[in-house]
This record gives sequence, C-alpha cells and structure tokens, in this order.
Amino acid sequence: MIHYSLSILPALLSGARMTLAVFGLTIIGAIPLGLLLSLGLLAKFKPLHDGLNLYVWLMRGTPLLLQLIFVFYGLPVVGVVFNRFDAALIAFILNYAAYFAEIFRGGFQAVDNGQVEAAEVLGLTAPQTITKIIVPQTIKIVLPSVGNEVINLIKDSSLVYVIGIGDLLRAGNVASARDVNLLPLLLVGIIYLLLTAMCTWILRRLERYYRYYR
Amino acid sequence: MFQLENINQSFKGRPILTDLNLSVESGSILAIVGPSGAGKSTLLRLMSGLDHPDSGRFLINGIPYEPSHRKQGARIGVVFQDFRLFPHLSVLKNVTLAPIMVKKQTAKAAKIAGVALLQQLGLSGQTAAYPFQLSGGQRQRVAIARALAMQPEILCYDEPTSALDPSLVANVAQLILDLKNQGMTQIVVTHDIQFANQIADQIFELQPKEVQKNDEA
Repeated sequence: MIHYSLSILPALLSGARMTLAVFGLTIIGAIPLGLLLSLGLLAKFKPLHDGLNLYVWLMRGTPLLLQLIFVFYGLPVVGVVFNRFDAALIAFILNYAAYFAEIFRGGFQAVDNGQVEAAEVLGLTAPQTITKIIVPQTIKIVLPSVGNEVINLIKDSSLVYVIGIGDLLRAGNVASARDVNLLPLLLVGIIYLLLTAMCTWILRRLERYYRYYR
Repeated sequence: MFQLENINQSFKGRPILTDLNLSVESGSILAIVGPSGAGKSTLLRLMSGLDHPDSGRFLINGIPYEPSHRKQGARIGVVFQDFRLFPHLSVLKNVTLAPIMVKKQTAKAAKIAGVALLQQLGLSGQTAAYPFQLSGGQRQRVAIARALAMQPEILCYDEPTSALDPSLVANVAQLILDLKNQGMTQIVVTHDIQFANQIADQIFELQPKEVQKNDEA
C-alpha cells in the first residue's frame, strides 16, 4: 500500500501544484479587484452602484461551475477564446472578487463614522483618512470572513476539472479509475486537509496579530 | 475674538438655530448650556466645520473664517464626547498623526512635541499604550492632546463631563482652567450647569425652538 501510494504521489503533487496555481493567482487577482469594486459599491454615483450590484448578484447568484463553463465554452461562440488556464483564472477572479467586494463593503461600513469625523476635524484629507484610519480598521474586521473565502477557494479550485485542467482532484480521479482503487482519493483528501490547515494557521496568526488593539 | 454672526440652521425644515450671535474673547472660556434638543450639538458641528450653516458666518479676530477649510490644520480643535480616538494607533501616534500628515512636521519633531504634550497632561506613562487600555479620564486627555497638537486657536469640548466618573469632573475642570492660563480660548458645550458655572467666564443658554415659540405666544 505504501509502495502504491508512493508510485502515484508524483502525479498527485503535480495536480496539487496546479491547484495552488489557481488558488494563488485567484487570490492575487480577486482581493485587489474586490477592494476596488467595494469602493464602487459605496460610491454615491447611482449608475456605478447599480451596475456593480447587478454584477455581484450575477456572480453570487449563479454556480461558479456554470460561470467556468460559460467562459471556456460559451465565449468562443462570440469569438472570445481563452486557453483553459486563463479561462479558469478569469472565472475564478471575477467570481471571488464579487464575494470579496461584499465583504469589504460591509467592513468599510462597520468602521464608525465618528472615526471619519475625528480625522476630518484634524484636517486629514479623504485619501489620508482612507489609508490611515479606515483601511487599517477594516482589515481587522474583514479578516475572519476573508479567511472563510480563502479556505473555500482551495476546495472550489477543484471545479476546474470541468474544463479539463489537471488539478489535484482530477489527478486522484484518474489514478482511482485506472487502478480501481479508492486510495488515491483518500490521499487527495489528505492533501486538501494539509493545504487548508496551512491556510488556517496563517489566518490565525494574522488574526492574533490584529489583537494588539480593540 | 471668535464670533458667530447671524447663524441659521434648520434640520428637515425645522429651525434649530435662528439668527444666533455669539462671541468669545480670546483666552476666555465660554460655556454653551441648554437642555437636549436645544441645538448644542448642532452648534458644535457648525463650529468644527462638520456641517455648514444655512446662513451666517464665523469670524476670528474680525476676519471671516470657514471652519471646513483645514488645509494647514483647523484653527478650531474638537474634543468629542466619546473622544473618538483611533483604536489601532498608540496614544503617541494618535497625537502625532495629524501634525505629520497635515502640518507636514517631521516624524521626529512631531514625536518630541507629542511626548511633551502627553507629559504635560499626565500621560507620560501611556505613550505606547492603545486606547482600549486606558481609563475614561485618560482617553479624554489623549483626545485633548490630539487636538492641542494641531495648535488650534480655539478648543471646543462636547459634553466633557458626561462620559466620566463623577469623581473625575473636578480634574477636567482644573485641566480646562490650566489651559485657559496658557491662553487657550475654549468653548464648552454641556448640559451640566454646575460644571459650567465652575469654569466659564461667560455662559450662553440655548433654548429649544418650540419653547421659545410658546413663550412668544
């Protein structure tokens, strides 16, 4: 059994590398985009606000699996063609940015308006108030919710199998079907658990760091 | 001298302040008293530039002054009722943030001035602490230090005794009188008439508009 496990491990690890690539690049793209969108959601300009609300509704209101299929198989119908990996990244970043935007919007709104007024009477400009007063307090507020999404993303990344990308789950599936053995899938589960444990640890550290104030 | 000239302010069509005229001599203490709903907080928000009056103007030493213009820092400082310290910044950083960001002081100069100010207010042991670690009285003194660090000409307080333990009220009174001795012009909004009598050179009483109408009728 150990011998068999070792024999399929390279294939699983190569799949895990793909899972991490989708995960990491989605985080790098979706968090800044979500931040930008959240500022738009808070904007007083109604068309922008309404447009972004529609966007968030579409992204959160339909399955990510469907969005993935749409980007990879649907857009070529109108002449927009992406390779598999790019299509996966676009769908994931657009989807997760919508969730992050809602989390950041709530975080910004949770910072007491008195803080903004205190900064205002001291003469701080709006950009200074945002960067020095609001954002630092928002990070602490949103950290647990962002952490939830990050953990979800590790597992959601397995949806890329539907457009034929060889991620961790697909690698396990292939080995399992070929060898008629459930052990590869058990190993896949363990690898996912290790990945989420690592993320959880990092997030806990971050939360503990932000406990320096209340 | 700080003057308010014909200030009018209404809220959703209901007049709150009508043709208000008021002046404070430099270096003196004005207490604004009155029951809740009389417009004390409204007046304070106008003086600190958080809201604009419907009409009327402010003058400092006879020259019109717009409280919401604070490019080089406001000439009117505010100590809020709930202090509104920045919870994520240490006591010293609360005090030095605006001098660095707005007055463009160097971090070093702001720090030296901030430490001196905190020492003067009896907070030299708390410079590295965070607001949540302080008592109510200490928080208030940090709020005062934060306002003073911007070197305002006038310092306004919103209900300085309401968030404090009664035993600390005498301390605040003393602190306000100490600042007066250093030449600071101060405006204290309070519902505590006893406190106002204790500190003020001049007391101005605001009445709710409905009451005034009844008096006229």
